[in-house]
Amino acid sequence: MRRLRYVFLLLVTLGFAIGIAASLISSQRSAELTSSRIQLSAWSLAQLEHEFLKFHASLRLFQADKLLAEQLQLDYDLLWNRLEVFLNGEENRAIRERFDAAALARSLLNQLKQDEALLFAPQLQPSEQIEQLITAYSQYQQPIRRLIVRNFTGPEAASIVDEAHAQRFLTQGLLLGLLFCGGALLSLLFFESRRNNFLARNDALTQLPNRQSLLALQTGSVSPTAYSAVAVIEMNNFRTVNETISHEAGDRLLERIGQTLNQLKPEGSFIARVGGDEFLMTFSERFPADLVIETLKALTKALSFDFQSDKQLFQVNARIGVVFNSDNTHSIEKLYYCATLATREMRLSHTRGLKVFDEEINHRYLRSQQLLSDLRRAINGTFPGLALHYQPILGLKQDVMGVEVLLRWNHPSMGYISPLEVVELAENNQLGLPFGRWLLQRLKQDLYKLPDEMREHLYFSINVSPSQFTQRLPNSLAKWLADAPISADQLLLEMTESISVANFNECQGILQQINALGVDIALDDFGTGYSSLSYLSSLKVQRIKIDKSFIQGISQDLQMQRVVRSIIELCHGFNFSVICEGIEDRADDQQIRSLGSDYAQGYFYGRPMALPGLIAWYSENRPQLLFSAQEVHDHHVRH
Amino acid sequence: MTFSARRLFSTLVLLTISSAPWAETSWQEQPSGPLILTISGELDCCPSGTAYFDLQRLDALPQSVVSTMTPWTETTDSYSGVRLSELLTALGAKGNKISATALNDYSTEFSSDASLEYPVILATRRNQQLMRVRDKGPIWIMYPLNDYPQLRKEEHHHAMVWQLKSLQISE
Repeated sequence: MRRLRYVFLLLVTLGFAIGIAASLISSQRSAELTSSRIQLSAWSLAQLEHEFLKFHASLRLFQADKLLAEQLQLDYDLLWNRLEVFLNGEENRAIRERFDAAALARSLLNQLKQDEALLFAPQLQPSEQIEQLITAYSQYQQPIRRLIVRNFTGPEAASIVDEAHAQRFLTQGLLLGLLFCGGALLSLLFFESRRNNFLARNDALTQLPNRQSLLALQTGSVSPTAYSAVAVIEMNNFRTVNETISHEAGDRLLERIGQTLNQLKPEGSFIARVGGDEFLMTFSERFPADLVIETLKALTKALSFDFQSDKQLFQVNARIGVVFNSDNTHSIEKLYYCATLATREMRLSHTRGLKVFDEEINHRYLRSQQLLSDLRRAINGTFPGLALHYQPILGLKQDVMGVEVLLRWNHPSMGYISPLEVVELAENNQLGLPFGRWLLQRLKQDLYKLPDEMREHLYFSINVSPSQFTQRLPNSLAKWLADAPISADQLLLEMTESISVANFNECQGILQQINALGVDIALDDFGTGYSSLSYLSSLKVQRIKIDKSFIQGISQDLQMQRVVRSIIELCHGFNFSVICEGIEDRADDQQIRSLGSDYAQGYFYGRPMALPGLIAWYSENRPQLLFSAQEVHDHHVRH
Repeated sequence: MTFSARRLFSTLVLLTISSAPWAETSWQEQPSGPLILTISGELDCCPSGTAYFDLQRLDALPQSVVSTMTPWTETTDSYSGVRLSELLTALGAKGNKISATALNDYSTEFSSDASLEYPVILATRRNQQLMRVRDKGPIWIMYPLNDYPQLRKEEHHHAMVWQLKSLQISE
């Protein structure tokens, strides 16, 4: 279609150019025909005849002894000059090319040149030779006369007139053609501009209005209407399709979504594609709330489908945030903003379906924005409350003891912020890396504060988030270890399964490099994710941390005991050592010891403590700890 | 009055009444050589109203050169002769209408405006050679068509009279 338009445009332009060129040539020709015939040729011929007749008369007068030789010679010169002008002058070109006029003039000029010696002889007298000249030049009188007559009448002259008429028709035809081409160009321009206008306000793929149209709605340049609700629809997996298959596949997916939206569009609704995979839908004020909900539920169903491309199958689904304009007071801008907040919550929590906006969502959003800004400052050291806590990890089979490095944020105005929330906030806002750097830096500071004996005896387990898990991680760990007061085998990294599943091969390489430094890796939260046996066997980790959901209350749960025993045996089969976390009482402690766990962590041994607490705990419990099953003194619990 | 005294007198008169130092009152007398140009009109130099020129008189005036092609010649040639505007000033001619007549009695009338603005000359030589009548001599009014394309108009082509015989200046 596009190519066809270009071809058409090319043809029209070509036609236009040819028309103009042809018209120019034609009009030039017409002008030449007219002017050469009417004016210039007539003048040239008249001059030629005049000078010839004058010279011829002078010859006869001289022969009759009634004219001086000088006068005769002057007339000779004048005729000579006239012939030169006739043969060379630009204005005589047209007439000289007709009726053999040039040949006649040339022959006359040659005759003159032949006679020069005779006529310019000193003491020129009338003579027989002059008489012969008079006869010779008489020969030219008739042809010159005939030339003049033929120029005005005769078949050639008539054909020139006819040609001039024909040229006029041709010129008229060409001008009409030009007019047509001009009209075609104009209409093409009109349709193109209409199309451009449409494309400026609509999305080419989905044929839906675009963000520009939404802006027009917001600024009120489109007639304002009242809305009962505004929904924002976000597609899940669109980006994956775009990035893992191809952009063409992404485009096809979008086209399909556009079709679905157009088909299900309620009456009076406005739908726009406002972002890559984000759509906006308004509901007119006649729509009651329950109908809006029903419509959107149907839409979530319609927008959940399997998208097949090449050999890959993608489950596409939508999350829809909707806000009701209950008192009809909010602008479309505000409504759109609220609906995006609802979808945002679903996106962050990786859920799908429908969510209705309420003030709580807004509150949570504002709180997270406040927290984010404070977290940024805290990482830079200009906001208080961010600290590290340490929870003991006991070796059950050998005399080793470690601590898990945990985050605590006691926010001055919002109180205690859960580490999970802090990490999630950092991960979702590109703060993962700076946050990781902060943690290592603070850990190093804390390490220097520990008593030497304690520092040498403990190992330190730190959590790595997905955004920190990059190719640069081994290098930055090596740098950190270079001036840290502990050795590499005192450092343990904890990562969740999701990190390695996302990109297994790349992950393997990073893990190998970390192991090469002498740092061990533990797989955190084991049992809650994707664990597969083949994956476990090839993953370069040394420890497995069984999730606390398996452990809590294990002493009362026979089935769970069997499951955990199997997991521990399985891990030992792969040569992984096992940590059980979430031990809260003596019975649990006894149970996991009997199941064969290598390490244990939980409130029963010690809560996460600030550095001074950890030092006190260590000095109090160190002597009687470890291989014995004695109760650990936990002053946090007792106080 | 001796010859030198008359000469001195006429020079003084010219210096006081005319800005043209080449004007000669003797122009109203017949020249010694063959007459090639007659100029008539209200002329300060010549109370009789007519000035006569042979080649010698024309050559005595400052010469200008114009190199150009014309619609009647196929090469660019170098033409030399007195500038028309300088000749008119020297004559003290009143009027800006010029009527030029050729040996064959072709006659045309044109305004002197172009000749004041552009170096229009009365050419007596082409490529340093005197022009014979058959070569459009002895005088050809020459416009500098090459250097000033704006002069390439029918109006000026008509004024380029060859075989010039006489000029009539009038208001």
